[in-house]
Amino acid sequence: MANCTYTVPDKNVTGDNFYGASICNQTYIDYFWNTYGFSGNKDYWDDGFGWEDACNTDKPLARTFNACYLLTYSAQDWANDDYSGAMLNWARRYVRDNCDDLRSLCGDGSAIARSFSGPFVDDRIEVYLGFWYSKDVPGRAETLIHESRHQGGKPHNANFPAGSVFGAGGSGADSTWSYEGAWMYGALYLWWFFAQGARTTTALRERARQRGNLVIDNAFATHPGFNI
Amino acid sequence: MPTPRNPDTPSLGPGGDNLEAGPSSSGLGSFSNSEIGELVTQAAETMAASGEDAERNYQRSLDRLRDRADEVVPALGAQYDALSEEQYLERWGLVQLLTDLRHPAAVSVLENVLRQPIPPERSDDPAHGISTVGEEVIIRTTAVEALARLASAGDNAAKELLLRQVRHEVFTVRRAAVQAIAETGDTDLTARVREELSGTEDERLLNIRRVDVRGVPQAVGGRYVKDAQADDAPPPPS
Repeated sequence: MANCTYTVPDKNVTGDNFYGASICNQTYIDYFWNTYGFSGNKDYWDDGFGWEDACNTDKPLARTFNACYLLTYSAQDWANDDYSGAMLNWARRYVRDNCDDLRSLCGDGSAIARSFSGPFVDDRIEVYLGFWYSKDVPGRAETLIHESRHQGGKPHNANFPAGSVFGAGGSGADSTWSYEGAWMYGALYLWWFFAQGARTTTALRERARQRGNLVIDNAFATHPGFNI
Repeated sequence: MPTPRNPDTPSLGPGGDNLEAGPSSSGLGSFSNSEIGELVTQAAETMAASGEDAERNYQRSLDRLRDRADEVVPALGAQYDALSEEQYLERWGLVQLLTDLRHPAAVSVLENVLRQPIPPERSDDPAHGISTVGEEVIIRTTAVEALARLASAGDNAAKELLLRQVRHEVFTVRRAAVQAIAETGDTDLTARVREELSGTEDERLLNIRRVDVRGVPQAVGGRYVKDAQADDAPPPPS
């Protein structure tokens, strides 16, 4: 068991004040807890991570609920999550279908999240301090989608290109956009959120655009040839 | 219909980690001129506000900042410099505010943002963690967006500064600058970019297009799904 501390960045900038005004409702708390892999993992969300204080957007649980709210309601027609439609609609379904167990931990400072799966492995997504305190709300939703893609069985398959901010030449990139890997899923979601995100702010949509472009420029071995 | 409550009682055995509040953040920081600081704080709050009047209120707060742009813009620049390196989100927030301000006085502050060298990567694992270089790049591409808006309105200083970014050390900033210049509609400026990039490795930047999300290959939904869940019906949004 590890002990860790956090510092909360400006909550207007991250969107936590915006979404925090919506999530403090037992109806949403029940829905998110049962839908996005929290259920059965109370031991990972208490002891300071927010289980006892689910509306406090200084703490991890509420900050994760904020991402869940964004994921669930950013499509104008949020009730339609058919896989034949736009990803903005069905990303919530994809996370629901692939994230059985979502656990919060301090982490060792290197990663913000990790996906674990395979034979003799307890399939799960772990999220760490950087997920809540270095990422804005759209970025957290992007991470849930990214890790869910790994849970669905799509690993990274290439090395980062020369000059990549994610570590040139290192493993962890996707070969192409058409590989439809975790980076493509995250970037495409941010793209839709920028273009059509509902129930959000123009600043957060702009932030999503900038982050999406960073991913497009740096996370594919072969640049897709387009940008947001 | 409300989702049934899951009691989720604690289980015996090993549990998770312990988390405690650390030092509090300075947020966007304190301004030497408290009146200007109050205006900036109001703008930051309305930037993140919800409700039917949110955008109108944000635009009003920007108007108040524009009315005192000669004081506000240098104060935002000074505040940017005063924030610590690791306050990436707050620094981005100030640049986004400058972007939305769309005021010619912002060019000198944006120049300062763009000319600062990007510090070396602080993360041991930028692929799985937060790439600090990536955060620095996002701040700079947002500054490029601010310049793009001013350049599109005809601001020559913004155009010249954009042109300089075509030689920036980071690919993503160069790409953003080239696209921003293309979208100004300034044929002379675009021709200068073409001339500069012609025959170089960066000539490919001219072929990377900013497009609508509907125009790119979409993810085929429903593939690589681990455990298809039953249909669900979320409660309506607030």
